[in-house]
Amino acid sequence: MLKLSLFMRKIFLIFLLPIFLVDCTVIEGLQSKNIEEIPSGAVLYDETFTDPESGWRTSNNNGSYVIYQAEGLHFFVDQSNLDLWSSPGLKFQDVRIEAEAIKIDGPDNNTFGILCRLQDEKNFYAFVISSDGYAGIYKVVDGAYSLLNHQSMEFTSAIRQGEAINYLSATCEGDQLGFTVNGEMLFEVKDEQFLSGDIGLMAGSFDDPQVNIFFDNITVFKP
Amino acid sequence: MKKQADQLPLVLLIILPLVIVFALDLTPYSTSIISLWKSLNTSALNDDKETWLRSANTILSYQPWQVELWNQVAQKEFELENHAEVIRSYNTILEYQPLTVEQSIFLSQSYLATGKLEKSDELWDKIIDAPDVRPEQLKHLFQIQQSAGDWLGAYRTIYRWHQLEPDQAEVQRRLVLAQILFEPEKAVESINTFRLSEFKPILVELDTIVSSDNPTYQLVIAGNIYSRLGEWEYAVQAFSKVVELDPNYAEGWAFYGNALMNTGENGFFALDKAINLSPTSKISKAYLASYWRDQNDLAKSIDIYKDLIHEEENQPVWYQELGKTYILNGDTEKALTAFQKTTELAPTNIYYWLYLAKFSGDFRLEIQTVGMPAARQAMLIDDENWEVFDVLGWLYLLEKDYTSAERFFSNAFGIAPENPMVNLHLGQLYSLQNRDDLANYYLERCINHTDDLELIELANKFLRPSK
Repeated sequence: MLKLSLFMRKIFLIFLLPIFLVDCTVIEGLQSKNIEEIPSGAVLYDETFTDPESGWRTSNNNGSYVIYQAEGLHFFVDQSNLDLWSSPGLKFQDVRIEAEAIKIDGPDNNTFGILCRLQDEKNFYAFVISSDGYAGIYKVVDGAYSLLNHQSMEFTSAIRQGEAINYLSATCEGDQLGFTVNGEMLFEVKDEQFLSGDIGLMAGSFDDPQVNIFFDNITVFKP
Repeated sequence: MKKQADQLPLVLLIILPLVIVFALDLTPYSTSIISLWKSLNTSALNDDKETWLRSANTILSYQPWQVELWNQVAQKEFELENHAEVIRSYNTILEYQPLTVEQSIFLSQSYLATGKLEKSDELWDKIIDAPDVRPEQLKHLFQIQQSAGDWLGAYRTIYRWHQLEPDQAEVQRRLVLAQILFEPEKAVESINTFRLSEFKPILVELDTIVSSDNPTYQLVIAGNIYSRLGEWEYAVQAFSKVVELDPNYAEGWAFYGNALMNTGENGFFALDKAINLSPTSKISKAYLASYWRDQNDLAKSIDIYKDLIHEEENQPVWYQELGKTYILNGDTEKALTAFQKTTELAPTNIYYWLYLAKFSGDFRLEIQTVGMPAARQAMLIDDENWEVFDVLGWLYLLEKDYTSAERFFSNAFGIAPENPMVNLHLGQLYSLQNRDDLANYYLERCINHTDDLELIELANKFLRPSK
C-alpha cells in the first residue's frame, strides 16, 4: 500500500505536476490580460450636455441653479458667497479632466472650475479660476477650504478675463495635482488625502451675486 | 387647206404669249419684288436690320396685306427702338386682323416709350381681359408696368395672373405685396388663405393699417413693412405717396430717400429735404448718416451717429450702425466696442449677440473672448435657432475644433436641413477633414437649395471630384 502510494506520488510528480504548472501559467496569463493598463491619453469619459438625462446633478434653489441648457451645463449663482457644484456620480482614480468654461455674465470676481476626487459635497479637490484672472487649487475637507498652491489665489495672465472662454485642465494622478489653463501649466502640488472619487464642475460667488457660468465639452482622460 | 393656213398665224399669236410666259417664267409680280422677298430670308440680310427693313417696307408698299411681314417689321423696329414705326406696323395689322396678346404687349411698350400713356393703359386693360392671355405674358406685362411705375395696373395684372395660377407661390407672394399697398384688408385674408409664413410677422402691422383712417399713417406703415421685407420698389411707391399727401412730413421724406437709395437711385434730395424740414429728426439724421456711409464719406457718417448716441445713449441701434461704419473705416477695434455696447444695452436681444459673434468670426477678432461667449449667450436666449448653432459651429471651425464644430453644425442641420449656409458649413468642415464623400453631399445640398451665386461659387470651390 505504501509502495503504491509512493508509486502514485511519482505518477503525480511526473504527469500531473507539469500540467498543473502549465495551467497556473495560463491562468496567470489570463489574469494579467484582465488587468491590462489603460494607455495614457485614453478617453475615460466625455460629456457634451446634449442629453439632459445624462446624469449630472442639477439643482434650483432661491434663484440659483445648475441646469442643462443650450448644449451645456449652466450655473447661475444668485446669492453672495455661495458655491454650486455638479457631478455625474462616477468614480475615478487617476484622471486628467478637461473642460470649456465660459463666463456668460455677472461679476468678474467669481470662481469656477473643475472638481476631482469628490467624496461628497464637503470633500474634494477644486481647480478654480476667477474672471478677473486668479487661479488656485483648493482642498475641501468637511466643508473647510484650504489652498494647496499658495496662501491666496494667484494672478495669472493665462486666464482670459471677463466674458470669455477658458480651457481648463486638472490632473489628479496619485498624490500629484496639476492645473493647466489655456494650455499653460499653472500649479503642481502634492496631496494624498483623496486618492479616488467623482469628477465635477463648480461655480461660486464672493460678495457679488449673479455669477453666470457655462460649461461644455468635459472630457476625462487617463493621465 | 388654204383656210387652215390662214388660221396658222392666228394660232401662233394665241400660243406665243403662253410660250413666252413659260419660257421666261413670268409671274404677276415684278421680278424686283420677288427678289426682295427672297433676300429677306437670307441670313446676311437678317443680320443687317436696316437693309432688311428697307426691303420689307418696299414689299409692303406694294403688298400691304402681308400681315406677317408687318409683324416681322414691327419686331425688328422694336429691337431698333423705332417705336413710331412699331406703332405704324401694328396699326396696319389692325386694319386686317386683331392683334395677338404678344403683339399688344409690344405695341403697348412702344406707346409707353413715345409717351402715349393713355394708349398703353388702354392696351394693358385689353391684355388683362383677353381670354387667351397666358401666365408668362402676364408676368411680362407685370414687369413692364412696374418699371413704368404703373403700380395699380401691375396690381390688376397680378390679380388676373393669380386667377390663372391660384396655387403658384410666386404669384401668391406678389399678390400679397401688391395688396399691402392697395387693399391691405385683402392682404390679411390672402396671407391666412395661402398660409404664407414669410408674411405672418407683418399681420399685426397690417391690422393697424386696416384699423387706421389716416392714409399717410397707413402708407408709412406699409412702407416700413416693405422696407423690412427688402421690397424697396414697393417701399418707394408707398413713401412717395406719403410725401405727396403730406409734403411737410420730414420723416416721410427721410423714409422716401432711404428707400430710393436702396433701389440704387439717388435719394439725397429727399434726405436733404427731411433735414431741412426738421433738423432734429432722429430718423432723418440716421438715414443721412447711412447715405454718407454709402457715399464713403465715413467721417460725416460717424459724426452723425455719435450725435445720435449723444441724444439717445441707450439706443443700441445707433451703436450698431456706428460699428458698421467703423468697419468700413478699417477700425475693427472700435467696431467691436460699439457692437459690445449693443449687447450691453439689449442683453435679451438675440440679434445683437449673433451680430457680435459673427463679426468676431468674420474678422478673426477675439473669437475666444468675445465671439464664443456671444454665441453662447444667443443660444441661451434661443436654443432652437439654427443660426445660433451654425454661428457657434463656425466659430469652433475657425478655432479648428472640428469635433465641436460638427456637433453644432449637426444641431443646426437638425433644425434647418435645407438651409444652404448650414449645408455649406458642414461641407466645408468635412472637406477640411478630407472626408470627401460627406463634404460633397452637403456642398451639393447647399448648391441645390440656393440661388445665391456667391454661395454656389463658394460651395463649388470646396467640391472635390468623386473617387
